[in-house]
Amino acid sequence: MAFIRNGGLLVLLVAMVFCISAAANPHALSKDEKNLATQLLIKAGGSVSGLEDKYQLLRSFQVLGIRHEEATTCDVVGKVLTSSSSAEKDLFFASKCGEALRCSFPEPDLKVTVSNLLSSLENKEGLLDVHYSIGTLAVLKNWVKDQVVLEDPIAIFQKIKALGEEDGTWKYDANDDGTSAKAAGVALETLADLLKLASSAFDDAKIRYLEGVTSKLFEFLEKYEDGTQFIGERGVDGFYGGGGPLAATSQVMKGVTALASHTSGQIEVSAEKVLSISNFFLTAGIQGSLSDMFHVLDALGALDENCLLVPVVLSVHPTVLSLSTMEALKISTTTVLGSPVEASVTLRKAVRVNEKDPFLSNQLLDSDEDKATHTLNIVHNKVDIGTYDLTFKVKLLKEGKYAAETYPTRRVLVTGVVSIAEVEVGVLDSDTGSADFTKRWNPSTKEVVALFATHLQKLRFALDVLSPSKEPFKPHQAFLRLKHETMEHLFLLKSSEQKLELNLDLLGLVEKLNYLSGIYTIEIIIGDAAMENPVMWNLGTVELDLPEPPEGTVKPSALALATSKYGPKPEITHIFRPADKRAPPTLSNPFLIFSLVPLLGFLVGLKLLNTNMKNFPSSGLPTVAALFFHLGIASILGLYVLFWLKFNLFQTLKALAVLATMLMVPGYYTLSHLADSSSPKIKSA
Amino acid sequence: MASTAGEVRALLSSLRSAYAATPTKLKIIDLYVAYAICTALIQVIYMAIVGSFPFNAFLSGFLSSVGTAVLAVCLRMQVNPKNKEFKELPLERAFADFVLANLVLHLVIMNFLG
Repeated sequence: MAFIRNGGLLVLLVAMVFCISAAANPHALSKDEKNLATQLLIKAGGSVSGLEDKYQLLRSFQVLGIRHEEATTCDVVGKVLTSSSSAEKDLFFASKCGEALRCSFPEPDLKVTVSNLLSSLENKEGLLDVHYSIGTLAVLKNWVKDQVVLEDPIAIFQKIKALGEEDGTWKYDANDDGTSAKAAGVALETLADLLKLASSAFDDAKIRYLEGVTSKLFEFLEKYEDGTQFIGERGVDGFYGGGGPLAATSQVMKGVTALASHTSGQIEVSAEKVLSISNFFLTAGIQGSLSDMFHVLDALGALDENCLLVPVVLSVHPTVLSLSTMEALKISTTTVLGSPVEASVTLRKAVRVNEKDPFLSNQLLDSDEDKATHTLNIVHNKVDIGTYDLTFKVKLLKEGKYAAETYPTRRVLVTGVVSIAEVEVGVLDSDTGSADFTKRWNPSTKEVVALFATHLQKLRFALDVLSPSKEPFKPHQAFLRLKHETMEHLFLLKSSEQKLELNLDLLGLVEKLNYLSGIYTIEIIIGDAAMENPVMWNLGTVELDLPEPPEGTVKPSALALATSKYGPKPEITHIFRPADKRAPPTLSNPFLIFSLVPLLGFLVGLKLLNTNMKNFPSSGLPTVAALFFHLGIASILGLYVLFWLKFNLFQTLKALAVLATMLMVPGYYTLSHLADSSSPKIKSA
Repeated sequence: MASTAGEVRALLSSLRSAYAATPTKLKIIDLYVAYAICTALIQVIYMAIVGSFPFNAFLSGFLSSVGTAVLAVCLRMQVNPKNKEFKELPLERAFADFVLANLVLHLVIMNFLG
């Protein structure tokens, strides 16, 4: 049996597997993902220019645990910080860069900057302006401890509070139309910095206010179908940097965790919400632009280590398990960035997708020494290929502010090698259904068949696909391909209870096959996400004897078929009837003369009849009128000749109108004169 | 046989003597009709030998001849003194009609000639 590994099919299957695992399985940032993030960041780092971008790069590397100094250096940061002309925003990001790089600056150099910032605080009105100033001062306090003393922290607190709304959202500016949760995140971060600078100014009432704001803020969470939660972006955010839900959720988590680190345990958020937000960032993954990656990594960094609540993630590795390698599942309990957390994990149940009864339940997993890695060997439980949902129960053993999903569910795909036990090919009589030819054989013998069938017969194909545990297996995709020299047709194999079957009634197919008789090759194509050996196998050939197409239908040639399907339509050309060959002049000229013979006969006849012109008026006005009458007729006939040779109809009609009027007057006169002269009015010769 | 030939001869001579009584004006018209029909026949013969291309030219010529013949026959009917139906119609009026109809006919013919 020829298992042909079709490259395209395999890529598709691998892609499908990744989609499944990415959509449903949150897992801690793995080493591979960290390496990928590092590579992407290094690539993105080549084109950063502003201080904000540089900070995003440095902070992302910091979260990944990599010291990276290519983006900027302490010297550059120091120059910005000591320059008196630097804007607040630049000072803020420069100080953040300095913090990330762990620079140290001599105290006297920064004194001027600190005093400038302190003196200008009063004039700041917008939320971001206050945020940048306070944020810079909070960082600078690391280097110039005694110099950073706020004159009136309560006034600044009130200023920030005035921009807040009762529902927990914030305005960026007093004149803004809308409020947003992201702005509230900025405000909380600023208040945390304020708390760091002047903790003594915050009494219990203010702390309670902050508690209230925080709990209200988490009512704005929106939910995805997979259960992850996030904070959506509002219209007003677009004017202040934007960044979408990633930026908004990241900013809120940053603000809340910063606030929690400067209060002693008063800020609390429900564990379920923090976990669903951490799942949001973990499923968002490492991708997109530098700012997207920064928001994900910044938030994960804040979630990985904080005084609020550290989410513990249960990760399953690998999510695609091959039966042929006999690998065991490794289940780890870690923080979002992968630091191990002690826990005991129980497999509550393992259910095959689309089935009800679990095949495994309540099994305590073996743990390593660190109690953060657990092993589940489902291969030993005679698991079959397919998709499984594993539900665990996690009990944290480590003390501290940790939280884990109680019953996390992870999806695992088990793959293996399927086998085809028997193939049946038959040619049946259409009317009676009796088999004219049947052959069953084991495909591993590599035999092929050569069939012959007419349109009055049916073709039957049936095959047993067996999973590694010899159970009937229904693959996602199963096709039969009939291939003629120029065209091919795909038919879907239907899965009945035990087999994959296909009955082809050739009478109903003659039109689809374009009445093309001849030899067709038969191929079977089977593929499934769980199959490690996708099949494209040549069954043999069938010679079809199909009837001639009915009158009027043209048997399409191969080229015509290909053209009619994909090629351009034939160009439409308008052709006039080509001129037939005319008679030679030697024939037509004598005939011209011959056609004048009757005229000659007419004239001769007139002579024989002794006709005369006696009635023609002989003198005076009637003669003139009669002459004009005849001249008029002659001129109209001449006009007709001109019409034939060169005039168009309109020119002719105009001239005709003039001539006809001129003809009418003498004509009427002449004929009246004749009528008068031939009295008495008797019709006689 | 001889008697049959004699009878035919007798019949023809009586026909000729009867036709001799026809007014000269009608004889002229008869001659004109014969002339038109002969011209039409010659064109048909030419078409039979050479072919009908260009067909509109043949039709124009043929219909011109036949149409003229028909109009001439109409004129003969109106001019014939034995025809009581047109007794009140002056000869000149009939001739004017004939001329007008011929001019219109040939305008159409020329247009069709192409």
